[in-house]
Amino acid sequence: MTWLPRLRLALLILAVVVLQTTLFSAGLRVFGVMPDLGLVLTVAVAFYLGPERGAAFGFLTGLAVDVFLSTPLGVSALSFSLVGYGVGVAQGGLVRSSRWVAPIMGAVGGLAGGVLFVAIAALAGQDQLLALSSVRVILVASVYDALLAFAAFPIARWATRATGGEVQSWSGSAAVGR
Amino acid sequence: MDNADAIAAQVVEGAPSNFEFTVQIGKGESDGVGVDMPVVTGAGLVGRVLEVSRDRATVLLVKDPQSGVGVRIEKSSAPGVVKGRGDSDTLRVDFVDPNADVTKGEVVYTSGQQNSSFPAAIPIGTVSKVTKAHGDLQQDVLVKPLVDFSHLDYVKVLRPPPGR
Repeated sequence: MTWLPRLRLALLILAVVVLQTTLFSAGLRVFGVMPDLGLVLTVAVAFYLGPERGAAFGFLTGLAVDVFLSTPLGVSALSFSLVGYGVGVAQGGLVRSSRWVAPIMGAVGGLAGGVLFVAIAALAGQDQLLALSSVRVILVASVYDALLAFAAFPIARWATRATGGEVQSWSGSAAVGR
Repeated sequence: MDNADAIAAQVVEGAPSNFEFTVQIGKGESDGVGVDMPVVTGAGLVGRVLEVSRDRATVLLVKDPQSGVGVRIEKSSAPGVVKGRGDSDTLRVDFVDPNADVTKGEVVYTSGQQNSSFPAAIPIGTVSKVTKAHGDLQQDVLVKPLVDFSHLDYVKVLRPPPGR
């Protein structure tokens, strides 16, 4: 990967952390729930860059978010990384592309990421997250993530271009092999 | 306006995650805020200071499942521990004597027992539901908080009295 996409991705991580800890935590909530911007962007980046780079981006984004949380450091990093890897693997099996790929992957990624976060945090001693209220939060957040995916995918596409070939196209053009 | 016993602070941010029940206030170490100091509004108890940096502090709300506050129920003076229930709009009081006469509408106050971070007599909420089954070791008491956590603008951080 050349330096320009890396710089764009680094700026994206910075933007995610700023937006998540200010704008969305302060007020842009739906039924009291905010989206997981870092997770949505990880899904989008993994969609274009594949499993390994998707996992790496997820790890770095999750770590940046973890710094601001009171849960053990690394919980978001691990859950985002796993989701990034899974999305990267799954997108390789997509034969047809459709305008609904982004919101569907945003929702599924949000769901998987939320469940993984709760499970990993519980393993790390945060038993209080194993509650029915967490289910509601994860479901609402995944719907919000699906909506944000409409914006996240074009942004990720812009950030990852000039990497030597996109792995999959969201808007319907032919995929370029690597 | 600050006085010797309390530090007024503005709530500047909400929780950065869906699984945390905290707020950030715009006062920190340089203003005299310290870890475990109680945080209140005119309505009642908000929580306690969880982390503090030079100019900001994170407040753990009483609705967070990690929060626990020693309390007394108004009329019966029954002791208990208020625990947060996360997303729910009620708190739970644990360890209430099954023989205590607890009724709906009673006010629940901090007990301020020895070594507690919270001074006595800060109102937390009112009893909204009492359930007791024969043979139970404690009553199930739910409390509706007096503080509206969705509209926190200004709070006060209580300084401990000298010598504490």
